[in-house]
Amino acid sequence: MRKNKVLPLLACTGIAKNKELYLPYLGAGIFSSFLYFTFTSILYHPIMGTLPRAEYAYVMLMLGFVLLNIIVFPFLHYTYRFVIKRRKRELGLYSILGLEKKHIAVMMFYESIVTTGIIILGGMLFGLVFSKLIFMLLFYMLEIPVLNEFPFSFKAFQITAVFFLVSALFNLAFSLYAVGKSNPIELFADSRRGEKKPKFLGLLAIGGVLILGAGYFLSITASMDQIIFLNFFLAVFLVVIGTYFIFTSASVMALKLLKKKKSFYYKPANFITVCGMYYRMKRNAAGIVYICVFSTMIIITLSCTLSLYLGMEEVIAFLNPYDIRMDCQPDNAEEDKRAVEAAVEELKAECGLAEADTIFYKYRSMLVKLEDGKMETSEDLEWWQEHVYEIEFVTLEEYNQASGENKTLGDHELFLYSNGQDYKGSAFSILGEEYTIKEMLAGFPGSMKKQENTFNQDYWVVVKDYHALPEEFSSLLGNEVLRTIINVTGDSEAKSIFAEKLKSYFPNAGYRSNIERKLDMGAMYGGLLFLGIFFGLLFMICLVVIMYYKQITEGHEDRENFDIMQKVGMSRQEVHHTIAKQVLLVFFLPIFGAVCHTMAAMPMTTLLLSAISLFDRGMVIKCSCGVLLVFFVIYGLSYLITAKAYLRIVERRGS
Amino acid sequence: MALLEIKNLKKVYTSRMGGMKVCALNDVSFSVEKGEYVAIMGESGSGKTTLLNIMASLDKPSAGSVLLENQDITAIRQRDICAFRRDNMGFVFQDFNLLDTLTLQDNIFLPLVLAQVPYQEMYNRLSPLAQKLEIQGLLEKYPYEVSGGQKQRAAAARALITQPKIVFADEPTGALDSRAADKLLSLFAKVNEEGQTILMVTHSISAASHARRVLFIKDGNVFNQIYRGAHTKEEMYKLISDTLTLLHMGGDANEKE
Repeated sequence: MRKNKVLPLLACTGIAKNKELYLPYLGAGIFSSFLYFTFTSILYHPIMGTLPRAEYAYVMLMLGFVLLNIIVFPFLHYTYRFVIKRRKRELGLYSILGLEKKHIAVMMFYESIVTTGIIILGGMLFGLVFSKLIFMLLFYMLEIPVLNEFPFSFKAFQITAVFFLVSALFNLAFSLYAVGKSNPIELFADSRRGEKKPKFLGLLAIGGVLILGAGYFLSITASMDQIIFLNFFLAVFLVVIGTYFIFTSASVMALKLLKKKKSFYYKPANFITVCGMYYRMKRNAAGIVYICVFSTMIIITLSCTLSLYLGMEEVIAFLNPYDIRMDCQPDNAEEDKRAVEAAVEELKAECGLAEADTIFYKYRSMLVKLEDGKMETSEDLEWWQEHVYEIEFVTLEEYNQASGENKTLGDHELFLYSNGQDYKGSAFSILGEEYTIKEMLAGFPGSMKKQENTFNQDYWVVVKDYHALPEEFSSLLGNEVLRTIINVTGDSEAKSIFAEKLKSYFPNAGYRSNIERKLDMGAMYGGLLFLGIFFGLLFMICLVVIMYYKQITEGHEDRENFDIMQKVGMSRQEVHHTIAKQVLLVFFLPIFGAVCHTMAAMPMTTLLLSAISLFDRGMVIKCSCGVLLVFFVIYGLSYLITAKAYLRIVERRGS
Repeated sequence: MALLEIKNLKKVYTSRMGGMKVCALNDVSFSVEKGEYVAIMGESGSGKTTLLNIMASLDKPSAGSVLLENQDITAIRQRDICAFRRDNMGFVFQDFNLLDTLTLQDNIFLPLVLAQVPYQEMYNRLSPLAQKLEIQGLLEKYPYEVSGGQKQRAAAARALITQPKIVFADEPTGALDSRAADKLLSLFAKVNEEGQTILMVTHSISAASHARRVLFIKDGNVFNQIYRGAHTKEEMYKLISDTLTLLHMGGDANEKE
């Protein structure tokens, strides 16, 4: 046989003969490319244009994408190194048998082609299936109105292929370098060598704590401003890096300390556990960091998603407190009211609506500045300035009529209503005259109140009558406007027709309908929900795969060790006990980290949610607790499954 | 009273598919006195490894019994067998079976750790042993950092540190070069002179010539045995070699020294 046939053959048999090594590697690779491909297809998906604050969502995903690159690249390298380390023995043998380094390089190149091809294609295939599946699940089961199809962009295929080719090239270069610089004997021995111990442990630990602290600080002190999204990702980035440093250095330091403590170290279960972890502590730390990071991502993503799901209706109701609003300047208010009522009645019957309630009130509005217990007005005020509000002034009579209440007011008393945070203080002065706030109203017709709302806060003032206000002030108020608030119930098509026709009846009125808007917003929030569930599931799969990968690879490594230990006189129970201890450590450390991270991320998370008008902090926290509990259960289950897989591998006798 | 008594040991393997029965041990009986150094020789497939595995309680016989100080080890329950093996027997394997994750010192400590012996006691037992086996300077090293001979001496230390009633060695020189093998064997002899009972399975004539008695196994039966008595090692070598030739020829001699 000629050489150019032998080498590809050797490459293929190399992969086939090292199934135990290559299957987990290919699995991890396919999974990474699946993750990567799915993410990029979302990034270039039309749904991105339909989200609320779409530009922010895009920026967030883009930053997330950067983060993904930062995570996936080392992960691929980490899994590859593991394979190469174990294969060095075989390569050494080839080299001894007379294969030149050149030939080994060519062989490894062929191997790379095969594995990378499998990884890229496999990932894309799974990505296509998974995306379709999730999409259908959401579309048909939850009836979330998203899109009626899930198109894939060419760009996603392209970017994924390029990324994985580049990382494969990098890994190949790495292994060629490693093989090139060592002689066969070194290759032979290398597969058993322990890991190099990291240097500058103290420095790493301090750096880790500082970086993690900075990340936490960013989250806890975050406020709603332009750079919050940037800060959010900076915080995530810092926390990931910090976690890595801390787990790497702290675990090594802890293990060293434990080894020194003879009375602890020389106990059967501790002995094996500590040694095993010390022997491959860098990889251990990396594994724990991955599990920790993905756990945190899952918890936060799902908390947000659940909050969104539960709070969505309320948010939409808050942003659309009425169905239709009409403003007109009445010649004769009573006549106008009757005209509107008649039109509503007529259209209600015509369109087949179940109900149509109308509320009327008259108001006069003005742009004022409300600050430091003073209400002022001037020509220079602009609506976008701080503490400047367009306030609607309503008389007591109108208010009582509209709300069906029977309240009273004195000359220097008023009611104040805000759709956001309550005004702090019990009185303020208008042009020097002191007015007492008799009551902060809890509600107002055509408005919804949220204490946490600070973004688009408005005020309403109820006075005894306009003469109760200072003369100079009331003369500046705008003309009296008759406002009609209409809320309808019925099927959405009938509502739309109703709104259209009503509009055509009163062409001169200031008209606003929320009916279409509610539907649009439903779709927008549905889009966010879709993303939340999509990524939640994606991260969940990541987590399980990483845990499984970790246990499988370590199982193969440990099998020989446990075999020897049983020969030396370790019983099956002791083996089980040791394994339980070992796996439990790997189980608890990351979840502990994840809980810490989640708590630290809470302020920022609630802030981000309030940007899309989800103000209910209490609910978000409750959702997080719920998600945490469910997550513990799922995590525990996957732990049991992976631990079992590990045990099965370890106990398989001989090979 | 013999330390180890093997009575009518029989081992039959049944292949999983058909009912093909392979008789590994036919009817083996012999005994080992305290302080003896016995080598068991035989061709590949003669049943010597099966015999060792049964004596070491790693495998169960089809019939017969193995008595260690009059206790039948084939009757010990599975859950107690590990502890029993740990407390009474030491093992040296052909491929060392050292844990890569542990330093040589910790490898040697392993059986004691499993037996929950306090650290100070372990340490006290280690120093004279390390000196005897000439591995004092290597204790902090990992198995992949030392040579095969050094590994095997560490493995021997691991077998001896529990102060076992008997040490089983399975082709201990199989993976060593002749010099390292000689060194190990003379150390074995030294340890034996101090009263340690050793039972070694080997097909190396030079390894067997260190022993004080050599048993030959053929087709699942004890074929012959030679006592070293007053013979020198060289004479012993010759004797073993002759016996093996006889074994090959298929003779039925039963000469005793």
